Amino acid sequence: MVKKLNPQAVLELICLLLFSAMMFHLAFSGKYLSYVTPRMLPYLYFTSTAMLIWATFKLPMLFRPQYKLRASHCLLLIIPVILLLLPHGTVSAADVSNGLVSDVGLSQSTNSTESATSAEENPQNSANQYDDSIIEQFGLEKNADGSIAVSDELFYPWLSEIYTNKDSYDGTTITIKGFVFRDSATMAENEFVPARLLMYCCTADLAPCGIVCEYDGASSLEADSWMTVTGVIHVVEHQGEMQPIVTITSVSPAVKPNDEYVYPW
Amino acid sequence: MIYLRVPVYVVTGFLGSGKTTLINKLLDKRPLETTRLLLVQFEAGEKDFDGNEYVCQVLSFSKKELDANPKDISKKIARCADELSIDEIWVEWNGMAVFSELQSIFLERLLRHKCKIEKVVHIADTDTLDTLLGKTGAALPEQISVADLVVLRHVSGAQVKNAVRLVNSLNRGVKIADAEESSLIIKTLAHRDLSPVSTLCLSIVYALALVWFCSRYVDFSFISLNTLVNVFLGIILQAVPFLLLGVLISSAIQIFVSSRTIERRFPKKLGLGMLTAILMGFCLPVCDCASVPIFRSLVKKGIPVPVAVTFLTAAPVINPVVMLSTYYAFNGSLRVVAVRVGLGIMAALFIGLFFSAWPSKNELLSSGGFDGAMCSCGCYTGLSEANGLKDKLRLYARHAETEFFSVGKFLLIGAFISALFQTIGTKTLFLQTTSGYALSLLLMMVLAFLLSLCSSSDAVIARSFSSVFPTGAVMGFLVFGPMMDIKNLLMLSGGFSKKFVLKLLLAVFLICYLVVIAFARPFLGV
Repeated sequence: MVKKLNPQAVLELICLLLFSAMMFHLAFSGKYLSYVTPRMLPYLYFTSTAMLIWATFKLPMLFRPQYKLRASHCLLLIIPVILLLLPHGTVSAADVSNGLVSDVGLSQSTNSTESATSAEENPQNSANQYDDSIIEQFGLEKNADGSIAVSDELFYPWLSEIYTNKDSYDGTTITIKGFVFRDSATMAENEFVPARLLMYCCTADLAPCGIVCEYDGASSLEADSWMTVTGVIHVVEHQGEMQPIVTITSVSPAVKPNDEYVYPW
Repeated sequence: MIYLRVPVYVVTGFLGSGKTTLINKLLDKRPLETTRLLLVQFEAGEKDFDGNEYVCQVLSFSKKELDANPKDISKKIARCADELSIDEIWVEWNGMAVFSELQSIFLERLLRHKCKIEKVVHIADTDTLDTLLGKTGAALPEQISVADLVVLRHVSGAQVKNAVRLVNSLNRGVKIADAEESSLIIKTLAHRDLSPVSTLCLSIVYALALVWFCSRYVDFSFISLNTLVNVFLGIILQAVPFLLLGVLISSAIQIFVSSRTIERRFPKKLGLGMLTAILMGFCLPVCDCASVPIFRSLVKKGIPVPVAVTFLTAAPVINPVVMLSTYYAFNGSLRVVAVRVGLGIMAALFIGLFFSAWPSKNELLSSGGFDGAMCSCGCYTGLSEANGLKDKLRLYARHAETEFFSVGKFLLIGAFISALFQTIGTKTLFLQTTSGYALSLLLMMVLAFLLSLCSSSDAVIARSFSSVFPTGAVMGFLVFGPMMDIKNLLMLSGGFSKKFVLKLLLAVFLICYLVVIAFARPFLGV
């Protein structure tokens, strides 16, 4: 005699397995980096495992009859899975320059007084705690000729190093890659930022960050297009503060890096 | 051989709630000459069943027989149904017996292919429901929670509102009818509902179709859906692991540490008690949903109210899981964690002192004493029945899961609102001036109250607001949110008098506001 399945248990089992699989897939493939920071990796594996264990507890319930069925609670697991499966890209830089994601990160790295977040999250200040150690910590190395070529992976460490010890980089040649970001409200006609999106915690706080560049053709650069720029760092007074500014010598189109976002550690 | 299964209608209710009267009344209205009825009574009704008026077979079983040999009962019912070719079965279920026993009689073994439970009706007296729920153990709440229809008697009485609230807290969205309205009851019984599982699957298909349709024909240029989805998923992925960690630990405490141990160890003196309360808040990582039941049992056991209130407000803010999630959400900033915990302790102490300076004169606990928290778990076969380690583990998994789902829905809503804020409203809400700070703090606290997030996962949402609001105001969200929100308020009002709950709400709100506005900014250094 075939036993009758308990539909609620089946549904819950499927949802738990799907969610567990989704977490594992995100963590294992590295796709989670589009949503949260690398620090979350062990927690994602933990969630995946816990859901799997819960699912095994469901097994004995499968053939236990139950009159009153409930289903709506499963939406908690279904909605994230469906949204994840629906086609969507990473947050594009266009959303950011449209003001959809606030430009806190930029104002933090250029002008800390305007920052809405607390002071110790400011890259400059947090960097102050290590000071010299940024170079050692990330193994930052200048080229033989004393110039700096910023790689995709070391974008943020270099940025905080240059802002922290700006005086020692006065006159240094730098090559850096980012998307073209301009904020017409606060930037002059000949200024732009080769920026990357900085993620503190998750997609909710993405913000562009980068070093301000002076370039006569700045207004002709297409916003959000990826560029490799080369120029010389000068520490000058900018918006009331001494800041490193790059005077551009060359600009060339570039391809988008694999990991679009940068993380502050 | 395919044959129609006999429909079974079940009436549950406590002894003397009027089950027999209800059945009599319902059957009275129907043309019964053509239907062969079987009535199965599991309780000796005080009223006799008027079986003489129509063709009806009655089987009676006592609670003793039910406990001793349920298999035998199934056999007897099956034989009777076969021999007399019964068309319809009515069951009058014992008020002290759990519904799962009825399920095992009608849904397993013999009767599974012969019978189909069509509808379950629960009948209750509004005057006595609250008291009964508090005193009679697991059977009654379970019976209410599985009912398709709850019939209330004495709807003109003073306790109606309370009874409706209790029923709703046990079985959200259940139909409730007045015992006098027989026609409505009969109509409800005849109505066939779609199974919730199919409803869910259907609505997902509809939703997907709608999304597909909208994405082709509706202009969404005013809002970036891509960003919305990304932000929403980001918040969910960041918050769910900590929510999970929170419910796993708090459920472990609820299942494996008896509340008696906690109560016995608690010092009764005010000063020492308040310090212990804070220490306990740290050592017992329960989130806000679990601290309410502990609070209630503390008050019941005669621990001074100020001490208990200190525990209630401190525990959800200062426990280790909350610290951990705050640490990750705020980019490893120990300062934010320290300020959150510091302000939380401070506010909790002030709230405790407030209650010792202005003690409540009236009775705190509401009359009935039904522990509203127990229902949110849904584990009616409670702790007392779980003996071996295996049983306890199973109960633990179920408890944690139920809690995860019940708290998780608030997270889903909160994440969505937060994502919406991020996507549309960022630029318009910049409030940085002094008056703006006071206002935005107020706004953040109200938001925290409405969103009802679990404290183990609220930090990431708070963090996402910190691009729109000043960090000081976000601190209000982090400190006040765990102490008091809609979810806590509902749970508290289930066990305490209205006056006390209102006083607690106002005191917590005011003290949190003052503490945050006075100390948050200097401590944060902004």
